[in-house]
Amino acid sequence: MRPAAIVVVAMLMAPGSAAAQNSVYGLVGIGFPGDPLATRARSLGGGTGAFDIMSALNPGTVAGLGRLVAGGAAGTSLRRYTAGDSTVTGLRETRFPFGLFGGRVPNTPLSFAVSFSTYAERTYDVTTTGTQVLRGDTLTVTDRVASDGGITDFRGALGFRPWPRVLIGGAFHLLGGSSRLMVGRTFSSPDYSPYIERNQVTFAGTSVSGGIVLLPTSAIELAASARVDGDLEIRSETQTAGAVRLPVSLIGGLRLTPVAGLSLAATAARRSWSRSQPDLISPTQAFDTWEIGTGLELSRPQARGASVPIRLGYRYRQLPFSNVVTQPTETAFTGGTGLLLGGGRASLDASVERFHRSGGGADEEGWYFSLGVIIIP
Amino acid sequence: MTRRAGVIVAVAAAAGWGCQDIVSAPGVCPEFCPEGEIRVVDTLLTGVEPVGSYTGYLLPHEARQMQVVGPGGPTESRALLVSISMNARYAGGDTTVRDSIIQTDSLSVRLNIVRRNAGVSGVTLAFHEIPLTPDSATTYGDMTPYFQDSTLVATLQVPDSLVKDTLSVTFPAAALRHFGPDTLQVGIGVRIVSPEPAFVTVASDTIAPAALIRRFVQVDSSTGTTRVTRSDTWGIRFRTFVVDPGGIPSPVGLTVGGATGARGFVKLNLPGFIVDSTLVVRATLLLPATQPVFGAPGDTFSVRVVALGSDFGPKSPVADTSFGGTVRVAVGGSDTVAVDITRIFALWRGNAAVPRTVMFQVEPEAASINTLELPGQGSATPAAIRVTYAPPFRLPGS
Repeated sequence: MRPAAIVVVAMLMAPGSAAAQNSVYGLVGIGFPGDPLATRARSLGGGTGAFDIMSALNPGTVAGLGRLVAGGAAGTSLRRYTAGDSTVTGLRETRFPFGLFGGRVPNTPLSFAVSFSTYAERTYDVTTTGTQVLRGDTLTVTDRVASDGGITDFRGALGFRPWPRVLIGGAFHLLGGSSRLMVGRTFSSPDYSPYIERNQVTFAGTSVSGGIVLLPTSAIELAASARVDGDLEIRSETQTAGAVRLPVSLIGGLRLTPVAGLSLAATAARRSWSRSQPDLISPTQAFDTWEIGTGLELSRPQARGASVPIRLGYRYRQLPFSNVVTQPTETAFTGGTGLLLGGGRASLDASVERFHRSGGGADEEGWYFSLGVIIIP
Repeated sequence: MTRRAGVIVAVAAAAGWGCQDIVSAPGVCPEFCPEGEIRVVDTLLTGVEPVGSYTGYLLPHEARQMQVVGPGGPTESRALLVSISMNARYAGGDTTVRDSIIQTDSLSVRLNIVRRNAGVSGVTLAFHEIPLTPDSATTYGDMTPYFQDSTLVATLQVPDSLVKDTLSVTFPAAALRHFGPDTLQVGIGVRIVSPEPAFVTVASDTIAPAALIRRFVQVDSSTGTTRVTRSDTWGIRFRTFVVDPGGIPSPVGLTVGGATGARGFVKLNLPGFIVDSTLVVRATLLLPATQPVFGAPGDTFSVRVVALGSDFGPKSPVADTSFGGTVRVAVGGSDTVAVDITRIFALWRGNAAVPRTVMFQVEPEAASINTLELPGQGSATPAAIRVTYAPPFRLPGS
């Protein structure tokens, strides 16, 4: 077995689920939004997201797939946050947030890609204490709400190159997934039975997206894509919760390669999350978001084609949900590198992110480590 | 596999295996609490429909206890004991003596008392000789002629300190007019003589028998040269207690308990969403008193509520009894009786096939005069249910 294949097997044997890191900002709304980015794009702050063949942000990039390729990523986050008087440290999660398989459709000018990525993460376990007056008595109650799961974006995309300098693609998305919800309350009085409500919450929805990549010169690349998400239907074993409207997303990108071995990229995305406001439970607020990522990649070509690039990036994004009127934001400094294996038939990418989220009375920071592998069979 | 690949494998595996999820954290509400709300609602429901009260499940002679109630209270009850037929020969098991009985000197009755009312002194048990004929149909009136001074064979002072113990009284065999070679059985009736209202409860099951009769006899030693005294012990063939019906008030609602072991059936017409779609954390059945709780003065008793498995009327089988509720009721009280039926709601949740009917019974059944009366049809103070429940956790989009 080739080493790269062994790596893939080893990663797949590890525990986890198709979800991304959680956040104190993921408790409300439909959860914490994920990124359909491969590890390389993450290490560049998402700046190459609109151009990255191995990411699922822009279906236009699928047209660039000439050979069969498979890739995936695993990530671990370590984080801490302060909210009000409460400081919580030592939180960590490990997930498989992304995977992609694609290539050329035989005997056609088309390329295809199927992928999964985290659309929103809904993993949390929160305990609160309060009081409630029942039957004239003031009771101390301890509540626990725990959710484990998320919403996954399954994408099937087709792309083609009508001209050598134009890549066009379209995709259909199925939103699915589930979360195990556990809600419980205990009372200070033994007269009241503690209760636990367990529920399997399932999600379903569809989306379409389309994108284009233009290569006017060898040094300049432009990209644009749009995505229209439908309603996210939420069902549980005991109730049909209804639906939440999802955003329309517009994405644009620019990549410059002034000299060989140096590229600069930026991707911006605008998402109309406020569409979901009527479907959320008060006091949750939904905001439209901007997301801007920039990255720089330095690589020194070697005689055998292998290199160890240096990737640096910065990402800023607004977060869509809050229980107060202040919209939270996230910034992240990113870095990473990659390694070609098997004579270029596989690559291993690693990234590290130092993120900081704030707003609405909380301050969250942490590290996110991602390891990705790409195999060309 | 190359060394580099080995390192890569280790790193990749560690990325997955090395990190266990730790996501538990205290919430800061409302800013950083999960969307949705844990709600617990308290409501008072009417719709408690009396169905009926039925007897015949257990009779006093089958009950686990017998209650003897003295005068001065609302009514009186008396215990009746009939021994098994004693052997004409000594049956004590001592092989150093001959088994031919020369003479029966005396008899001793040992009662197994499990409860009495505290704070009452000077309680005396009077033992009367009664016929050997009592059966399940024997009434208080049938036995009244045998509780006269002429039939009194012994009295026994109940120590004021006694709560639960055995008490014995011995009397000459000659005191029993009908005990003799032809009839080696003893019929004893027990009543209370007390300056204040009092009761005594006697155990009456196979583990704790109501009474034992000990016979003291004279027999010869095995050599035939010496006359010695020995005793043998005999059990009870039939035991019951009879109640003076004159003191029992006419029922206004559904009767539960009493010497007849009445069971009350009540249907709970509940909103389906509360039973099936919520989690009930506390449910209390509120039973306003229709009249003061009838029973032995100073006594308390347990009333048990169980859900029916099927509703066939009086002969309905009960569901899992571990899902029932129990409440202790004081005789003479006029307060609303509140019995917790939370576990019955747990049984009913998601189980539409089970009827929403509950059955009340006094524990132990048919063992006392204690009676609870439930509000009947058209009662001015109907029963109600106070339910505290948690509706389903609200999800986004709902």
